[in-house]
Amino acid sequence: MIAWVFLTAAIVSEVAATLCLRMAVTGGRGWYVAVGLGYVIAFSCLSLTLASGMDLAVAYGIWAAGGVALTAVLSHLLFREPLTWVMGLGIVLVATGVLIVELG
Amino acid sequence: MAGTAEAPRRLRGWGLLVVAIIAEVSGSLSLKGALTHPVLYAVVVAGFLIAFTCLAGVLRAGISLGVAYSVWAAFGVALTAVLSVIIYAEPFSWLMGAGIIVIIAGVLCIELGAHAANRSVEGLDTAEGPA
Repeated sequence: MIAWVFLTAAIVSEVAATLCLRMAVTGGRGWYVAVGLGYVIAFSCLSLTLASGMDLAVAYGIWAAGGVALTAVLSHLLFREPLTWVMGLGIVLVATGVLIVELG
Repeated sequence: MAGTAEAPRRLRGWGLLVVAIIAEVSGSLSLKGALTHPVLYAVVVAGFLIAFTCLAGVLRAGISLGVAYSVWAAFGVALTAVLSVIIYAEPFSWLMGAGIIVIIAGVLCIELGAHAANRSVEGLDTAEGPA
């Protein structure tokens, strides 16, 4: 159970760091500090997830798939990036494929 | 308004995305090798640093985060899986092959969708649809 809490924290901090990377491009360089911090927290939480007994393939698959989907939706909402139904389908396919590769 | 400078800028962005993917895959593969050859940790750190620097450049070139990140993750996972089978002789499962095909289909949809979305935005800018 605690493994899922760590995994959720890993996904949230990784997505936050990636969104900060986008902010660093148009905003100030200070955002790079948030990027570094976010990824350190993300990898620490991922390690804690594995230490709590979850398989690497399962943890990594859910982490990557969740990261891709959340990043696409949030960058559409925050940065008004175009997101069509075809692109949405593509993101769902990528997330599904990542899960299959890691779990298969 | 986007004009002629837009195309080479985007091309540069896609080139940087290819470098980011290669750097990230090298880093991930070295992470496994580093368990037996600790000197490879240098490649891991360098690989991830180059990957994130290039990814920032990709975004600066005007490619959207949603597209760049999903293509990056898709190729990262698929290439790492295929290369670990080749380099570390990990077992290959048909399910893995099926997953890679699904990933490639997904990347194609994202690419085609993003291309169509860009064209319709440019079409609005010039008040005429694409030819």
